[in-house]
Amino acid sequence: MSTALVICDDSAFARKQILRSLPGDWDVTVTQVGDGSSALAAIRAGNGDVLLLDLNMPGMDGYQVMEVVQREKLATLIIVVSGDVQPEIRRRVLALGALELLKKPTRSGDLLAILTHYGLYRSTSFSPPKPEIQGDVSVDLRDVYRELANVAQGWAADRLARLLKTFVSTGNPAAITIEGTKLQAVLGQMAGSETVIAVSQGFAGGGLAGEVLLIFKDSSTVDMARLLGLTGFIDTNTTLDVVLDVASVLIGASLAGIGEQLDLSFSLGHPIILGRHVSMADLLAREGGCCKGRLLAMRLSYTIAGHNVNAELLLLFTPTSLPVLQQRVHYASP
Amino acid sequence: MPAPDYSPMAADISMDLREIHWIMDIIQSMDIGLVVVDLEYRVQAWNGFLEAHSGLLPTQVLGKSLFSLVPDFPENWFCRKAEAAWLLKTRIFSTWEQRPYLFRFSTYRPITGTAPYMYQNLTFLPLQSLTGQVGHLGVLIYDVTDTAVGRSALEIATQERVRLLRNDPTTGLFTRSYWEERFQQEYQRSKQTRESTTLLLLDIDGLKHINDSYGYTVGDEVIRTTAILLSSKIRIIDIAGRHGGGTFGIILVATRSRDGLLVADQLRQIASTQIINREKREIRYTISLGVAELTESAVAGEDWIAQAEQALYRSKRAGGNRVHVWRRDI
Repeated sequence: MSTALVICDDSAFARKQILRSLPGDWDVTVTQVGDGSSALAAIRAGNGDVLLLDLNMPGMDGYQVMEVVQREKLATLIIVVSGDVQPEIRRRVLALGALELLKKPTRSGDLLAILTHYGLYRSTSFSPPKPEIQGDVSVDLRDVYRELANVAQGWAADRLARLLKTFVSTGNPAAITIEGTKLQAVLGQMAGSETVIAVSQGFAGGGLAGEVLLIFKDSSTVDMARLLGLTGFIDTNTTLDVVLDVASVLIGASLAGIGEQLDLSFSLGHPIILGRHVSMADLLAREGGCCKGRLLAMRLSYTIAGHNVNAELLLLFTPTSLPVLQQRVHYASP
Repeated sequence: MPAPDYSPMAADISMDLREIHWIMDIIQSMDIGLVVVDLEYRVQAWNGFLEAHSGLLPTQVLGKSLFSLVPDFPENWFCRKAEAAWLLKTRIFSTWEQRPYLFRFSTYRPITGTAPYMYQNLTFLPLQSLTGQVGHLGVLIYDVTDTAVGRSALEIATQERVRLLRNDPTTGLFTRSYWEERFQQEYQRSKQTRESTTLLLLDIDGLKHINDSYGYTVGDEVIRTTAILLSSKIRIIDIAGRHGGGTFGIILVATRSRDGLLVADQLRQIASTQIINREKREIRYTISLGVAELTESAVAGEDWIAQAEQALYRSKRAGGNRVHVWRRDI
């Protein structure tokens, strides 16, 4: 008998990645949905023996879906798919009854191992017709950019959580294309009037290139140093040390997250400390910036509950990268 | 039949020996330091750059603990970076701004070298073994002395420019415009925190007369003397600047008007004992002050200053060498 599978993710790009990673000979009927309440409706209609569930979605999110499933004792087996797999998130989703937490982007090997382990799939010589797909499968670029940013944000949160040994909260990732000349105005709104410390790192790989800007509120640095186990007086050099460590981790992991989705890896330049105790406006006035044409900008944000830690990560891809990126996306989700 | 293995590892193993030879040649001769250590921090590779600058031959360092090679090696710091790189399987970067160097190499250019040692940027690379496990750490060491020296010179110039804009050349106190900026900040802050803050306005009595009788150099000397005694009597948290020709503004942080009055009167007394010697003549002078604590009656910074001005005016009207505290009825 065919297994009824629901794939629930607000990103069509992510759903495509999941579809591609399903075992080719799995006898399965797939229902794709883009939000939590549609997933619940599909399960109640008997279309969800197995649910592959994203966590961050507008409206009803993955956690809320699991709460309803648990409360109403709905018969479905849940595998959560998330870019952010930090230990605390694993603990939370398992406590809400999920079988497993699977890291995005979904890889067929990982999914196969889980499906096999829970007896949901057994390799057969039987070759069913391609999974029957309901719902819209067209992928638009804004959706792709947002999902790339979402996974990048998750990967970096996971690494930071492991470095600081604490739970890292993330904001809503944003991805927009913007005229290079208007970038300064957008950046100026970030961080408000508080003084910041900023780190920049250039990157390139597979025909894509750009710059990452990491912005910490000045007030964050002492708490980060404490989380790293440093005691006593935190002087300027220690502050820089802490900032560069966290920058290495956040920037490295977010780019690795994007690279993984596009099947490429980035080479990184050496980080540069752009400014200390400066306002964003002053910082930008100092740096020229000379990029003409439309850029892709992703904005990721991190906070740590109970601590005064606030970091924003801005990933900027040059205009010449965009056609290459679109081509890569086409490969990644044909 | 097993599927052919196209993984990069398999390619590495079968790499032609000649190819390894020229890659080794590049590593050996590149102008970047490369040291590889194992999990116990024993040196496994030491390239030509490091050999040249340290004077230590590979035969002297291979297999030895990295920490034993040079005195004052930052062992704790290095381990923290290395462990982060290993744990997270990610590159960790360090710049000369946070730590000028890992190995202290003397500058090697007698003519163009301006720094006492080589500034270094570092990259910590976790290296995976053939089985995918982290087994080694590579550290790349870049010579960034030129950048560091250039940047330091620029920063010193910027700081000097900022200082010139903020500090009045005659007295070293804040200029009027910068003091007023700080005054507005303090006004907002005190309003929000409801902390007691007292403003003093200080004016040199008869400065015009001093200028007319003895010349501007004497007038400047009086202003400078007053600024010095002012700086020596207030705390580091207080904010003093020039408010006009012979007038100074002083914001006393966390101070009630009663204590502000004491400070003001002390300043007045000391000023009256100052003697300026000019061509065998002893010139004496006095100052007057107005004191105003920030209260609800000031709804803007300007109101607060006006109150201190009113108090100062009363001191002047009464003949100078006096202190008055602002009250609503004056």
